[in-house]
Formats: sequence, structure tokens, C-alpha cells
Amino acid sequence: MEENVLSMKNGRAEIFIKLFSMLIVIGIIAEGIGAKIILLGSVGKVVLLPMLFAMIIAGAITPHALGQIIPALKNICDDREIELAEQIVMYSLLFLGVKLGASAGPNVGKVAEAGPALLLQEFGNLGTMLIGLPIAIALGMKRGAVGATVSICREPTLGLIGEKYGINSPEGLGVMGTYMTGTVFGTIFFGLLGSLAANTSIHPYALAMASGMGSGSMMTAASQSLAASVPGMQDEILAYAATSNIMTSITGLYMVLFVSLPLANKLYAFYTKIFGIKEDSKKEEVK
Amino acid sequence: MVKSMDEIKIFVLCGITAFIAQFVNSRGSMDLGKGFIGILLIIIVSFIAMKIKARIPLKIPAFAWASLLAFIITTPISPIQGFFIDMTKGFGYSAVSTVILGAAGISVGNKLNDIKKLSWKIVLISLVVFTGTFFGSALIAQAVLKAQGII
Repeated sequence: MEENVLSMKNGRAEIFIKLFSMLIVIGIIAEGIGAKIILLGSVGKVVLLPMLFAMIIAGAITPHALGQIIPALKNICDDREIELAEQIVMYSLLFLGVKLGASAGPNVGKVAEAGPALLLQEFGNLGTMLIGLPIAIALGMKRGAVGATVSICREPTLGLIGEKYGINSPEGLGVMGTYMTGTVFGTIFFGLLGSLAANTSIHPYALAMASGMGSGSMMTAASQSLAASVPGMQDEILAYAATSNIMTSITGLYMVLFVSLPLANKLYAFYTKIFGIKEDSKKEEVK
Repeated sequence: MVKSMDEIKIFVLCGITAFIAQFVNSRGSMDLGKGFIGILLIIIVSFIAMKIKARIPLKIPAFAWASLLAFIITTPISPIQGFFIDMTKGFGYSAVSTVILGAAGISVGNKLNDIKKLSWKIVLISLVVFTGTFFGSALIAQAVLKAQGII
């Protein structure tokens, strides 16, 4: 019979002690370092958050990284700890789900007043799939392409894909990749998008709403550089962007769950056929 | 029942880890009492979400249930809105994310070769994704605002 990963019985308590000791030490080091913001003159800034340090340290102590150089590490972190860690991701993601819901709840009124444009522009997330998905498949990412391009990949997507496919599945690695890139380079890239987009014929209000599709810091960067490029509209731009961001925080999760993910899976089947790529046997959903 | 006990143990261990991370994050200025009740509330909602998922045969992940429950609890019509927000607001995204990504970092430890293969591609794809979402959303907003006669 297969060992029950979640059980602490049959001498498995040791695995829990090792894994959580590692997580606590990693947490202390990562939060101890704190957020590091690297300013790049007028271009913007690169943001390095504690969670990035946590992930790098955690990845480094695994058996196939530093574990190969320092064999003693394998006594602390080996395959059974890795197996448990995958489950722990799923459980701790629920905490994040609670936090996201609690950030959205108090703002429900603002969104009700916001009007149809703000609601409908949430479908803009599908824009990534039309262009992003085929490019990702063409680059050979296979199922990882679905995770990477299913949406702008902020926390709600990370949570959903992490639970549905497992965080170390191809889909999970894809979403992690876009999530991490967004976390580190999101501010700088959205800052650039905001000012470049001001040169198009799209109305600044529409661009302001588009600024709110990602994280709070992406929204701030995009809307401020947009406001700086379009004089005299600063208040309206910042208000539309902030409301759009709140809208995203409420609807984003359900958009991915009910619209983007099913559609991405359909499009994946379609594109792989067109490109004549042999489809990875679709990984069974974890639960 | 056994599974529920296992799950509670795991939630508590995750909670302790997040609590310590939050304590370091706040550089010791955290309100420990509120923090304790806060993480307890977060654990309770997470656990209920797990149970709802197990009982309701829809393909909706526990993550979505957790978020929906917290959303309902914190809407202005909820009687415990104030209490719940007051207790949990001390818990930042950072501490929770540090735990998740620490565990994620370990769990992808046997996939490092796959990650190396992704590296530059994923950055490129991400930028395409951001651009696609931004302009996809902007074009829809443009069309709707125009239809409404606002612009």
C-alpha cells in the first residue's frame, strides 16, 4: 500500500519535523533579508521580495542542487520531504486564498458602481492566450504553456493551478515562471507599458483600466507612468486603475476558474494539432 | 476523520511557520495576541474550505472556496466583518507567500532540470502575457466606453 503522505504515523513525524524546521529557517532568513528594491534611474525599479529569496534558498538545499555538493544536506532534505512539501504548498495556498478574499470583500460596493466597462475588460486576460499560448507552445513548453499563459498569473492563478495540477507539474512550473517574472520585473515592465501605450490611439481611460489587471504594484507603476504621459487626467486615470485593480481582485479568481482555464485547455489541444506537436498525455488532475 | 486530524495538524504547522515569518517581517512589532487569533481564523476558514470541497461534488478547488468564504465574511453586510479584518490584517501577504514559496522551492527540487530548460523562455513568454493582457483589456474597455458614449 502506498504511504499516506499526510500522515505522521509510522515514523513519518521525522519528515514533518525536518521539513517544517527547514521552512521556518527559510522564512526567518527570507523575511530577515526583507524586500529589496533596486532603482534603475528613470527606467523604473526591480523588486525582490522575501518570497523570492525563500524560493531560491529552498531550491538550493534540495538533493539535486547543493545536496549533490554537500551530501549531508540529503539527511535533512530528501525525496520524502520533497513529496510532503508539494502537499504543504497546497495547504498553505489556502491561507493566501483567505487573504485574497478578505482584501476583496470590503470593496464589493465600489465594484458594483464601477459599471460594465470595468467588468467586461476583465476578459482582457484572454488576450494572453491568443498570442501567448501559441508562442509558448512553439517554444516547446508543452503543458507548461497552459500554466504560463492562462492569465496574467498573479496569486489566484497560482493557487488554482497549484491545487489542480500540483505546483511541480508542468502546468505548475509554467504558472510559477510567469508569477515570478511578474513579481521581479512586473513593476518595471508595467511602467514601460503604461508610458508606451500612451502613444497609441486607445483612450487613456481604457488604458487606465488595463493598468489594473495585474498586482497592486503593477497597477501603480502602469497608471503612474500613464498619468505622467497624459497631462491633465491624473485623477481619473489613477481612480480607474485602482477600481479596475479591485475588480480584478474580486473577479480574477473566478475568471480563471470558469473561463480562462477551460479555454486554455481547449486552445492547447487546438494549437498542438496545428503545430503537429505530439501532445503530452494530459496529466491527471490531482484531485 | 483521520484525514481531518492530519489536515488540522498540517494547517497548524503551516500557521506556526507563517506566524514566525510574520514576526520577523514586522521586525518584532507585531501584535502577538491579534496575530494568534488572526492565524487561527485563517486556519479555520481554510479548513472549512477543504471540507466544502470534499462534500460538494463540483470541480471547484478548495483555494476558490477559501477565497469566497473570506470574501463573504468581509463584505459590509457580514456581522463579523470588522472583527475578522482587524484580526487578520496584521498578517501580510509576504509571510504567507514566504511559506508557500519556500515549500514550492523544495517541492520543485527534483525538477531543476525542467526549470533550467524553461528559464529564458518563461521570461519572454511572461512579457508576451503581460502585454497581451494589458492591450486585450484596454481594447475591450475602449469598445465598451465608446458604446456607452463616455469617450
